[in-house]
Amino acid sequence: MRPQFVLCLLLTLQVSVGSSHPATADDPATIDFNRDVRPILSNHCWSCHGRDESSRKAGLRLDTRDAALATGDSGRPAVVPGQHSASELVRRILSPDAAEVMPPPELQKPLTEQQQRILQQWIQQGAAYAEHWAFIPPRRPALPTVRNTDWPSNELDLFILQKLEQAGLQPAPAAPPLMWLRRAALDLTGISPSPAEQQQFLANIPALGLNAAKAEAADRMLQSPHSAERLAMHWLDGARYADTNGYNNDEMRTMWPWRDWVINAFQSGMPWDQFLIEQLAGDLLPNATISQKVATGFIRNHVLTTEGGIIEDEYHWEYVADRIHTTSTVFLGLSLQCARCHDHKYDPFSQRDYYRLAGFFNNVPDRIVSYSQGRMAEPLLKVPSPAQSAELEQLARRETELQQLLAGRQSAVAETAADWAAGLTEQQLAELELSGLAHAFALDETGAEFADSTGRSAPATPHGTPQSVPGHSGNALQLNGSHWIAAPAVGDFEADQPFTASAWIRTEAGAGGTVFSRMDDAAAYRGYDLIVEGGRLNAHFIDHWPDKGCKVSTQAILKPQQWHHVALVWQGTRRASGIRIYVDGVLQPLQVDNDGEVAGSLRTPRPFHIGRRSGSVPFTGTIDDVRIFSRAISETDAQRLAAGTALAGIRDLVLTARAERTAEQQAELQRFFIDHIDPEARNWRTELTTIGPRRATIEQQIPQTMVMQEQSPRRPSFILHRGQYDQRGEQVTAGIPAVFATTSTATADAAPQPEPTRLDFARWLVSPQNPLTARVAVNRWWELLFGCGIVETTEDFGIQGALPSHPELLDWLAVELQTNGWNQRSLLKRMVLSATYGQTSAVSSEQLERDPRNRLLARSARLRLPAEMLRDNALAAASLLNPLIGGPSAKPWQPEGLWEDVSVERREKYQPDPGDGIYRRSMYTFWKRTCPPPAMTVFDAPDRETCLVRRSRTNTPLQALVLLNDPTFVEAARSLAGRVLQDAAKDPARIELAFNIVLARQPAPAERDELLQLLAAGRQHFAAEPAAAAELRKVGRAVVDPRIPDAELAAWSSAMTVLLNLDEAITRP
Amino acid sequence: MLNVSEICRRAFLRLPPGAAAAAALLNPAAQAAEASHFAPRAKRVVYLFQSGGPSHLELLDEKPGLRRLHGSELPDSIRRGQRLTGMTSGQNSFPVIAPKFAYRTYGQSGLRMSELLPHTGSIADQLCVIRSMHTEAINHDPAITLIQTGSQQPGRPALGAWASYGLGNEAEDLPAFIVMISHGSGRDANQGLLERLWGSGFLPSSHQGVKLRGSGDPVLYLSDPPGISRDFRRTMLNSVQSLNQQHLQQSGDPEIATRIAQYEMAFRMQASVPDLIDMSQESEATFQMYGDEARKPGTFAANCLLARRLLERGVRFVQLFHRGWDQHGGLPSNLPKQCHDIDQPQAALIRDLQQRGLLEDTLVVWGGEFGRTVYGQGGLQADYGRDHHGRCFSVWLAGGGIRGGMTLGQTDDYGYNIESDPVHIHDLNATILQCLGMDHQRLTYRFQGRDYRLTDVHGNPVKSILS
Repeated sequence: MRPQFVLCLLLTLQVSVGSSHPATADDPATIDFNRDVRPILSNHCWSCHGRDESSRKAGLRLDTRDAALATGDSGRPAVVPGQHSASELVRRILSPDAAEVMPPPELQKPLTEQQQRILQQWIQQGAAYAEHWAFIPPRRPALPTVRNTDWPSNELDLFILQKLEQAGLQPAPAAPPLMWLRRAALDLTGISPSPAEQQQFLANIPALGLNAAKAEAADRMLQSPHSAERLAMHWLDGARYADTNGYNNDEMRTMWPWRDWVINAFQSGMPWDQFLIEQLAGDLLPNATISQKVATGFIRNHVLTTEGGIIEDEYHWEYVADRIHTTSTVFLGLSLQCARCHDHKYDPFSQRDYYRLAGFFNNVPDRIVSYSQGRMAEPLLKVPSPAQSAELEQLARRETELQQLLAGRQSAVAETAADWAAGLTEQQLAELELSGLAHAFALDETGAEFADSTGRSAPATPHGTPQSVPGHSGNALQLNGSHWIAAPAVGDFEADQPFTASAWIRTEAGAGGTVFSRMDDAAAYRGYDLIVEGGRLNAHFIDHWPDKGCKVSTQAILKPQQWHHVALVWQGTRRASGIRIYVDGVLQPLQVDNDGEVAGSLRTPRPFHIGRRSGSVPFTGTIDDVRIFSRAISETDAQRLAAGTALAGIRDLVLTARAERTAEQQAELQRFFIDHIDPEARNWRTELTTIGPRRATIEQQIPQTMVMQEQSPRRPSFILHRGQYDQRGEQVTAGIPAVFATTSTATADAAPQPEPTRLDFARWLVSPQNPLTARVAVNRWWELLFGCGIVETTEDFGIQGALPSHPELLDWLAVELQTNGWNQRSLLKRMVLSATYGQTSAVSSEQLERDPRNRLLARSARLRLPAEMLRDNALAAASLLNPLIGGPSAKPWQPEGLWEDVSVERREKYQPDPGDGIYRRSMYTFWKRTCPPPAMTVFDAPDRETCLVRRSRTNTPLQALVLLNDPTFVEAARSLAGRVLQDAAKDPARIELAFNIVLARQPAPAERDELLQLLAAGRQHFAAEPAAAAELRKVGRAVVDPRIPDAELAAWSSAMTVLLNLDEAITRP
Repeated sequence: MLNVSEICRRAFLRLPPGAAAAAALLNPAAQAAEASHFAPRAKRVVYLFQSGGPSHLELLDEKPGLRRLHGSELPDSIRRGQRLTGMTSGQNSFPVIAPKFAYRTYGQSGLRMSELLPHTGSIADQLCVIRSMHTEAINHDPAITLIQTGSQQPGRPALGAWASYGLGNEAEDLPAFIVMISHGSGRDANQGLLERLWGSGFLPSSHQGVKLRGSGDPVLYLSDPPGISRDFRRTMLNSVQSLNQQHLQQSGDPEIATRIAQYEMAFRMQASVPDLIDMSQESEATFQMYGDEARKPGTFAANCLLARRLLERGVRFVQLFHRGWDQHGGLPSNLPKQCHDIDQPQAALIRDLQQRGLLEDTLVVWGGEFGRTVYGQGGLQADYGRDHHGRCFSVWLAGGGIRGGMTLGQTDDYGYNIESDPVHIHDLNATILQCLGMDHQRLTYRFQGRDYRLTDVHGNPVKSILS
């Protein structure tokens, strides 16, 4: 390379020719509107002279050529093409008068002299405007011709080399094969290649040739599940995926089925257009599968408030705004947020455009979930695993079979039932009545204790002296609000056990209270109760109120001063849907007031109470015949209970002679026989009773996740004045922004009915008319592999965004994506096989000087690994990485007390997972939005409250503290030490192996010696400090071969900590 | 042998213009904004944030007329139909509740303030009380996010992050923005805190606040693992640095030089932070001033004392959060406890800063995210509560750039609406930046095509309170 020559050439190229204005070497010769003028106008002029009518000054627009050429308020046209001296714009930008000069000094955005010159030149050259590059659909450019035809490996390199040759730069030499392999493995799979993978690759080179060996490796990596995880990890920030709701209460949510959908999509090589359509509108596809619906969780990943007192409509619009922001940023590379309150000042989007887009995202029937109502907002979808689905189907089949068998049993037992009834002794008849009955309190006595008429020893003692009055049968207890009965041994059931409690009650109008309960008010109301309130019945079943408990209430009003039989049935399914309430034997329709799952226990040491909760809601009225059954009674049972005084209610039937029984009585006797006596039926019924709880258990394990769904009729969308939820303006229909409508007829303003749907919107995104989607996608992949996008502002392709460094390359890639079946893998492969990607990252000071930010790619970039990959690679080197894919999020080590610091009532506590759950890949780390994993945020992971597509890449001392002291890294170093001690025999070989594992290369002699010296120092140190060596061994959970002495392991652990902390270890080469 | 100064010098050379040299140590990759826009009155800030919304009516905004109005219905002419939170919007009665606590006159300036704050009263002449603060947010999350980040919704950098970005770091071995949390003695807070309140939003994440904690590692991951002594850590570090140095020679990437400097900085922090939190050198007189609670790590008192130590060491922005002020009920029984938590230590902090000559260039800010309603939540009760109230509330400021011994703004006889000199949260934040020498309209960061500000498109510095 000949630097002096290069410099001269550059100067020659840049000196402006034919201009009538003084120009410097920095000025371009021919003005390009998009490159040279637009940024000046956009930054300095358009906020007052642009699209936004409400903030326009002096009636002047400079954002279109016609408007700029028109005569403004001043009486002179702002721009006279070819005559800069006649242009008012020029006069004003050059004016020495502070009252006249533009931009006005108070805007604090003065033009530089160069900017002034450029505007003059532009006018002189004809004041041509051009549409913003990113809003013109890409067309496949011709491949550039280059001088050095040896270097390019594929088309991509031609575009890069062309610019390098123009700038007089040479590409860097090719990286050594293993540097390429480590780079590609980290980029594509997130994990450094193992020694075996390195061996295989090196062996392939002589056999296949270097390029084919690289191609083989790239294919292998791209098809591995780790690659799917890596690409999914890259997707999660933009999709603002998290495991909690964010905002004040920040409860847990279950969105990991969506995250797993993303992994599966990448694993299956799903075409990018389908990847996009399913996430935005999978629910609207014909015959949408569960998986396609789960995909729409993308839109529901936003934060969700459950804070008390929140105004629903306000947050409805916040969520819509988040969906628009995320969708436009992630897929279109646009920020539309400005247009929420007013027309966008820079980009051609009106406020109307914004609310037309809102029409696609505001039609989901979501409601604000109050804090007591649960953790996620409807619509929800259950997502069973294949095994769960199969078992549920099997259970349903068997249930039907058994029900049919039982139904058919009636006629079969006619004789047997009659014989059985005839043979009953008086004692048997008495016992019969106890079937399923656990306890029965007739409440006939007056005194210090009430007897359990089942004969079981279950003392029930009165508090206060309730009056004994004539009851429904025998006597009853009159309670006045200060009396109650306590029975410690009664009604102690677990949440998954079915049971029933019943009583006869009589109340005055408006009076009532707790009929019975077993509840601990002070332990967040754990337990259950049945309450008369305002003449209606309600019941609670609670583990922890209100989040883990349910409440139902009846609709009909109990008649005052009349005896009613009330029966409360719990089917043991842990949900409100498993509650039945019978009044006088009639099943009551129930309103579900709280539908929390009774996830933990129902049991409490507080006694069963007749007449109040553990301390509240006392009963006023009369209670008689309280019974507790250790099973969920049937509707027939409830009828029998209400009809007679005994469970059986068949005493009369049995005592009626066979011949005298009516057909109805005969049938009833048979039903009873089947229900309670018939051994065959009992077996079936026993089996039946296991089906409910089993199904409940499975149902409980099936994750529910938030998805999209449309409501009908559609929720109207309005232009909201200043974006305020309560200031509705004109109603608008859903549609794409007008600027794009010109390039697409499908969903334009004048589109015929019906109103376009979210699915139409998704399809428009991937239509050939869309100028952005493909560009934005390939740009993000370019950023993933090269460290910086072709458009550096991956999040902003708008007018204020960066211009592409290689516009033709970007378009070539975008068109390639659109025409190759939206095949992401094939493009990624082409990128990693390019000569550009294959360069060394070593950089000379001259290169640093010429292109400090490496925008021309005359070398590869060294990139500090993202937070997730730092930890994953340490775990992989240590052979600790748990390869399990997907499922609920994992909790690795985290310092204690962090959740308590920020959570409501300090009640959230972080508990690391048991076993090797702590070694899952970091993309599975549980993401609590108000307290994200601290070791990750230090390495620039965002909090995931809002969409973010480009992380910063900082270098701070806190990062050193994590890598040196986080127990994860300490135990990884120890395990790596154990691995090399085991796998190699001598110290130098062990160090070589460790280098190989961590850095995919051999150590230089000086490097090896440095570690050998440290090892020697460590052995000496830990031999003298055996206790310290023993302590270091105990950090974390990973166990290393006990035959390795503490001091030896500690010395090696320290050496491996050094290795894992090298800049090279944490950097993609 | 390692030459750290050479490495650091090289690291500095890559800094963008405007970044203070020391900023490089902690924030080398950070884009620092242009230095001061005008002469700063304060170099540092300590923000004593009272999370939950302390009642202005009981503490700082005396309304003697309420005793007469106690139990009467809040007139529509006062309420003016403005929105209420869903917690009280269903009430059919809004009875006025007179504060249960008396006011006293404090200082030369005759500041009227609650009897529950006698120590704070003793520094009354340092304080500038603003009684006309207002916010449009009525729930905790949006309100606290607005006051800390200038937006009700997530995604923006916190005030301290803006300060770090705008002014860089001048502490030698500590981050520019430090956060400490304490739990009030009233009932446990039923609103959460959120990492975003000290987050960096779209700014480079090196500007995010670093938590200094009362239990466990004071700074996360600060301690060497069990079994690794300081000396041996140094030995290990020398190896890391030497190997990094070798790699730097080969690859030429200046980021490695920065890494080497950061590892040295981390090593120094491991000494400087324990030194920072080691209170054994503090005098008995100091503890008497701050109160005995200051000996208990994690308390507001201990955090106040730590704040002074941080400010002494040049930390730019010290943010305290004291939780537990959300008194929807049980206000009379919990308010004295909360006040006891903060009164003596916050007064001591100001006096201590003054004694050390730090108060003149340290801005002290005290306040919560909103005030509380004059009417009772759940009606008229002895142990009453008050709902959230954004239409007026009180804060105070002291120190660098602030006129002490004054009050600004007046509310109506109900302490419900502002009658004069309204100060919006954006105005307060603009004022804080102004004290730090920054023009809130010019402290911008471009993200997604827009030049963002802490104050969005609003805010005017409150000039009348500046000295």
